[in-house]
Amino acid sequence: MYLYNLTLQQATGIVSAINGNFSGGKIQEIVVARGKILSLLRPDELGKLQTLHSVEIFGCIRSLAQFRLTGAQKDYIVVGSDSGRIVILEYNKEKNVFDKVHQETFGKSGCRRIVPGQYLAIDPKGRAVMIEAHKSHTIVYSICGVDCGFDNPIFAAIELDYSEADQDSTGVAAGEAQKHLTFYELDLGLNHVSRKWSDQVDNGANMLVTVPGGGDGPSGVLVCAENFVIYKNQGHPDIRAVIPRRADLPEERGVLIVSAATHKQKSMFFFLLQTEYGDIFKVTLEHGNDGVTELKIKYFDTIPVTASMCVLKTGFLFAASEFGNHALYQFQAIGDDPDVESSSSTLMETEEGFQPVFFQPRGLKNLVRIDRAESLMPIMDMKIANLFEEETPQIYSLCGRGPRSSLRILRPGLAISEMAVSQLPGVPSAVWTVKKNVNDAFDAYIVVSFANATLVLSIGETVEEVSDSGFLDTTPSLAVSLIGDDSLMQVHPNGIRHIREDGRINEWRTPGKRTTVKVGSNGLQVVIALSGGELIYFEVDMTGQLMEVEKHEMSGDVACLDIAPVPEGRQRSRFLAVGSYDNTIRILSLDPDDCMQVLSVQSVSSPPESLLFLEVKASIGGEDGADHPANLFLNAGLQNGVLFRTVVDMITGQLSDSRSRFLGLRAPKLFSVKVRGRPAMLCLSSRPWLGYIHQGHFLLTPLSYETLEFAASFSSDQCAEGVVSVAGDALRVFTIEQSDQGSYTAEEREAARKECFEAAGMGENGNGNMNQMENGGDDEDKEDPLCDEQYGYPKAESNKWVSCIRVLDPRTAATTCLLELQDNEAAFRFIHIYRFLEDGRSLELLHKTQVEGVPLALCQFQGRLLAGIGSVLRLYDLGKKRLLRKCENKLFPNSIVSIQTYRDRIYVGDIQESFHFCKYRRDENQLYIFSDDVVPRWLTASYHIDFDTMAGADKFGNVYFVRLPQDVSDEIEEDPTGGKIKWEQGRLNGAPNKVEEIVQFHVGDVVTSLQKASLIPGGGECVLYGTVMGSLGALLPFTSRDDVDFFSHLEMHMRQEHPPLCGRDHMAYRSAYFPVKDVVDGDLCEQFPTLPLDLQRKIADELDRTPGRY
Amino acid sequence: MQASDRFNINSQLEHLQAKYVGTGHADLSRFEWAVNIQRDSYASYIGHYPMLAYFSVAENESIGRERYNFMQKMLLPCGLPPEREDD
Repeated sequence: MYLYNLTLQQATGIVSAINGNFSGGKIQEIVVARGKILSLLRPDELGKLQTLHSVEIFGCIRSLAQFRLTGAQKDYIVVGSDSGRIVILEYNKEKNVFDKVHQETFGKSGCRRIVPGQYLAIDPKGRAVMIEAHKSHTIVYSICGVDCGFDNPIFAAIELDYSEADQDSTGVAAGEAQKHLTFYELDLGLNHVSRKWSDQVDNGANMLVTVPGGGDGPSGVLVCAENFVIYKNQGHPDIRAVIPRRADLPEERGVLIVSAATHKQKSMFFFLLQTEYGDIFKVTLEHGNDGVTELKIKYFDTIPVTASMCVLKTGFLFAASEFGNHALYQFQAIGDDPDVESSSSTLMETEEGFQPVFFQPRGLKNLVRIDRAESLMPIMDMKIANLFEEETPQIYSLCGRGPRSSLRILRPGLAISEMAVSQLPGVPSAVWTVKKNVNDAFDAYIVVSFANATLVLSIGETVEEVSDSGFLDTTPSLAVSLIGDDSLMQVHPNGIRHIREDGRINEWRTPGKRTTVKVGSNGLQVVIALSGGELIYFEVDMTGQLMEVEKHEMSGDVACLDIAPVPEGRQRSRFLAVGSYDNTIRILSLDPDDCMQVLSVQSVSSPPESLLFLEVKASIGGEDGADHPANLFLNAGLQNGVLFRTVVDMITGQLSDSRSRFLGLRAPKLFSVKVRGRPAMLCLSSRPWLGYIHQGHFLLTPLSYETLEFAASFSSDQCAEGVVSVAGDALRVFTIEQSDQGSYTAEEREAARKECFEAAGMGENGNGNMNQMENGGDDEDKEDPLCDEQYGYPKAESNKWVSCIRVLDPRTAATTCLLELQDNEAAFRFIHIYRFLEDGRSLELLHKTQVEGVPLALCQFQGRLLAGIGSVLRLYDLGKKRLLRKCENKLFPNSIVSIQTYRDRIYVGDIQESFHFCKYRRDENQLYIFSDDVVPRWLTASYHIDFDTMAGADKFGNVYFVRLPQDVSDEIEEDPTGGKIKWEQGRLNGAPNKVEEIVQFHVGDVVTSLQKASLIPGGGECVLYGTVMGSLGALLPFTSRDDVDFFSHLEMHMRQEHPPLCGRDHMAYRSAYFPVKDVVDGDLCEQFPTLPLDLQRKIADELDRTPGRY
Repeated sequence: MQASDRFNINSQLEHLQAKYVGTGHADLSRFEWAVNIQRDSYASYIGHYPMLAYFSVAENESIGRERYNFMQKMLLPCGLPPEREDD
């Protein structure tokens, strides 16, 4: 089996974020590391976060820092990763890529103790960068640069020496182990680093923050420690202040600072420090000539706990949440109003230690949230099912944790936001929008055609029906458009109505009894097809008159036609495409010399329904790709639901490089729309699709919206780039959201207070095993006006658990049943049996059975219940009062975390020891293990693939498949004892047979759920996985040996020609724990279009192909 | 020290041991071995952010706190060292 790994949704969680001016100039930008992805974000003027660029680096980003060379206007990015290299990147705004400026190799790779890259510190003047390179016998907690103006660069580090503690068996040395703050100086003249100063520091110290120096401040560092913030500098006494604590915090818990941001202006600076509970404090320093005199910590606001915070110079705070959605806040104030404050001058030391300062969290005062960026992190569980009976199944994922957890329904496709829906008097057949003048920014009319009438709506502050527009309203319309500079055209079955700007109306009538059936126009040229197959060609002349130019008789009725857009600076376009019912598309010339000559013919698989010429300026770089030559594509929607696309030669009209794609069950109708000012294509099949340019590439993506009949682009005051469409008897106006990450949209159904998953519709009779248990958070005071989502649950003592089971109706997002489990007992040592009531809408407790361990896995098996309780696999029968033990096997190594069954086989996953294949013999009432794995795998997810095969994922980010060899499998099935005799003999304390690893791949992220599903109607099945960082990926099986060959070779060339950005070796990364086996990395192959054209051609030549142009 | 000594296996090993923490030697005790393994594990958890996040979900702590806890545990990962047999 060969698989193709493809990320469907890039990771949404953020490891680290930095801000600066990466494209140069004054624009504030943010670079975020999402594990293995580096992206550049920019908040626009309205405060909406846009992703400019996102690139997978095939490595693990451990740290990020930015620096600016003295006097320069542009920031550079330093990346510490698992590559054993440090890389300096520059954002290239012309090509919209990160360019590698410098790469320095240390040697070893991986995220290990001996590999530098975990900590980076930058000299504030941009002269040096320090990397922690594992000093021997020392644990380093944090490093930072010290701002000392233009003197020699100095770096600070919190260090803990463990050499004595390792030797001393009495524990005295360990007890006395002391953290030190050490300053290192880089002598720029000698190019040498020396240890300059070292001083004891609070043993709870965990983080350092640079204090501005030189002319801007007192220099030195802030040491954040548990409960304290301490200002330290060489030759300066410590200034210490206590971090205020929440009044309801249990006494034994400390307060730790987890993220920090500095704001610096010419006249002042302050720090924002966030605690592990989400409270932000503003820290200010009083300083003068004799150094710092006072350190103040004032309560600022509370937002969800962040991994990184960035204060932008434009007055925004970017908060990269560690779990759940990220947010962009705007500063309303900078915390100048009085609030709870602790200061170094009022610090009180008593016998029990320092006097704490208490505060109560309150609503946001200084910040206001203006945008949020979706984050699925962490996906704890995922089920794919088609509960809504749509064309493709939905992905139900449990995201976030604690109070910010949610059940999100994901669908492939772009998100849309519906702006208006209005009912119409009949069932419309088509809709158009027209401007009154070419130069107008907004549309003037919406014209809706019915079976026997036309309705005209004028667009103003409101949209209302008008009758003075000049359009004929007693007939259906076939096309409505602006023609020439300022006149309107309405094509109806009996002719063309041409409405001049001054209100004059010219009417052209069809000859005889023939009617118009199809129309194609491009603003200057019009072609109509009459019944019987006659084409009549009109052009707009100099005076704005519509003149008949040519007639042409086709052999049969015309199915559809379209005229290519007029090239810039030309008077007319040369190409007319005509689709006929004999399964052909013809390109006809519109040039005066060879008017109506057939230039080329293309036969297609089914009669075309709709044609559209699209000029695409796809590029290999650049934010807009404007400087690249356009390609003209002819798109055809065929009656069998296929979108057919071919390249039209701009000069000869020859067709080449055709591709098809199945879009849905209905013939796609194609419409031209604009996305971010560039031409795009809307295809309406049984679901709508959008073909558009995203980050320089043409993408065809479904929209998460219902089936539409007809659509037109729509532009008005309120909505610059919208779409107006008809479906049923409703007129719908919507906009397409430019989702950052690509192709999955999440619909947040409910911010479930506790994580839980309802497995009812899944044919699973188990019960509690889908519940995530939640530690702490025993919230009793529900009167609290502050929402837990923002402030978190109050912390409870350890070993307190709350959990609940919730049954949700995904359609209404309503909880139909909520069972809270009482007294800690629920999560532990009990198996509850529930009965479904009311069609599965609610649950009723039948009975509880106490067991001796934590039952982590349950599964139904032949009408009985299999439970994994610690290392015991047990079979239960349902009794009246409790479960009845039938049979058990105690030979599992550690703890059973998953059970799956198929026929009489049982597939058991151990937390540490991978899969065990078991069998149950009914006649002897015995469970026995007949096969196991040779590799210790720390399972986090498992899925049953087929009779002999299991898929699993381990804690270290690997996905693997194991299979029982065919001969062993046959032998066991044929053996009358079912291999039991062999089992009794055993082999080296394990099972007699071993499974073989057939697939192995390092994803680089902890996979928490696996499931097999088919996401394309009629398409093959693939294995989907969800990860802790909030990404979704798929493993697709190859169906032919040729494809495997092609993709493995492409992967090989890509590895050679396009090594990962941060210096990690691609093969080594995908084989980080085990050698990669039989998986082609699609994420690497999909980077092919981002290569320079000559490199693309070179690789394509070696593969005997030609590079495509879409 | 003779020039040839620099290239013999022992001095190479010493060089490795000086450069890379955790490089074993013939007299490595069980305790020292375990301590190294534990410290390497904690360093790996801290370095792999998704794993750190996974642990912090399980323990209901913030990621920052979890990282700090792991660092603190690196001091005495296996408890106190055993008493030395003087030889």
